[in-house]
Parts: sequence; structure tokens; C-alpha cells
Amino acid sequence: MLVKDVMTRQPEWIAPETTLLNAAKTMHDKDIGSLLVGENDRIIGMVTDRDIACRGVAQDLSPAKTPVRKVMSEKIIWCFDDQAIEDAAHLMEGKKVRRLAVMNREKRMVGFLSVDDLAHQTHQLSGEVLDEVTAH
Amino acid sequence: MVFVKEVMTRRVDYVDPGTCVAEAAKRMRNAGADCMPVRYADRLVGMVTDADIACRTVADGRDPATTRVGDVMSHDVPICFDDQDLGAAIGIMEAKHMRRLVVVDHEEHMVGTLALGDLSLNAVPALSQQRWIEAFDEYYQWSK
Repeated sequence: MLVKDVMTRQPEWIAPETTLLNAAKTMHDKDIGSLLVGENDRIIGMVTDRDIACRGVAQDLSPAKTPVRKVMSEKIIWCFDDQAIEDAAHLMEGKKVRRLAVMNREKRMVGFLSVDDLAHQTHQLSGEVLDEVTAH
Repeated sequence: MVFVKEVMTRRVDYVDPGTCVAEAAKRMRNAGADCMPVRYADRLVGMVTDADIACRTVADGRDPATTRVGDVMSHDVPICFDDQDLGAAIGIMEAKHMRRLVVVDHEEHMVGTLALGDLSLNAVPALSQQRWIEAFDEYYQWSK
């Protein structure tokens, strides 16, 4: 099974000056957990619900005043949409992230892949566990 | 047959429903956890996640320093029993689309958590090789 079969499509873009409050509203409205941060038609980062919780709320930053630029990850961990989901799971484990950005071969961001997207796939679960076992 | 209690993680981090969301976020960050069980009077009453903090607190314009976990938590918490067999517990994860279950005993006390990561050899070195083979056989049989 390929990443494109289970990923969330149509990633949403927000500007770096968007507040945490408005970023969270967008996540809530679209029922998604990650957003791309873009400036001058270029991706400069990615922000997730976890970034808002751990780098915003846990640091006592005001959601109405703090821009996502302050909590976003500038280094985006990504995979291709035609990669196998086992590869993507490996990447998440290796990089210790719960979400990946997904790019097509034309180098356009086409979606996001979360651990939960993977957890919906029975065979992926077994793959993940077996990978862990063979790694030790 | 392998029981949940043999492979679960026994340490249970939890928060109280009266804890403020900002404090819960700190504990989740420090624990490296994306969710945390909520306990009241020694009973499991809910679960709070990254998404609850972003979408039910921040998105609604509530102040994380004064909003209580009990007001934003999810009430439907996937659980399994400590004496349940592993295959059944994995079945619950699949059915509920969750990677983690809270493990309770029959008095409804939280006694641990079961995550897919617990099924790695590193997590429970005490388990004998034979028991691991059984655990994975059970998992494999179930996943087919």
C-alpha cells in the first residue's frame, strides 16, 4: 500500500504571522492536525497540534498573540506519495515524528500522513511491530 | 496465550480533571506523550490529547491557564483489561483506530498502558524468549 492511498489530501497553508489561535481554529474547522506555513509562495515550515500544545501552551505563550512562526518546525520531514507506507512508518520512527508532509514527484506538497492514518491499516500495524522486532 | 499485563507499560502518567490545560500540556511534553489519561478518585474518567488542547481549548479562545482538563477531555477512552489476552487487546486498537489503550483491572483502577511500542523486545526484557514468540505469533495470527 502506498502513502497516497492513506494520506490526508489538500494540505492547508497559513502565513507565519497567523496566531496560534487562528491556526488551531483552522485545524478544528478542517479536522486536521497539521498545516503548512508559507511565505512568498514558499514553504518555510509546518505546524502541528502538538507544536501548539507543547511549544505554545506548555510554554505559557498567549495563543491570541503568538505567531505560528514561533512554534513551527522549520525542518519538514517528508516522504513521496508513491512510497510504501512501511517506508513512511520507518521514517516516522527514525525521526521520532508523528506526522510527515507528502510530496509528489513534481516536488509539490500534496498531503500529510499521520501515525493515525497508518494505524487504520491493519497490515501496516503488523509491519511496524515486526520492524521493531527485527531492529533489536 | 499472552496476557496484556505481561507486555504493558506499568507506569501510568495521568492528570486530574481539575488540572489546567497548560499544566497538562507541560506534562505531556515532558513525558513525550501525545495523550494522557485523566483520573478522578482513582477512576479513569477521560483522556486528553494534543488535538484536544489545540482544537478544544486554543481554537475556542479559552485560556489554557484557567481552562480545566475536565472541560476539554475526550470521555470515550479505549481500555482493555490486564488479564485480557493480547490478541483481543490488539483487536480493540484496530476497531477504535487507536495506537494506545489504557489498561484497567476489574475494579476499574488504571494499572498501565498498552501501546504498539510495548510489543518490542526492548520494552519488556523480563519476558522470556518463548513468551515473546507466543506474543508475536498471537499478534500475527490476529493481523491476518
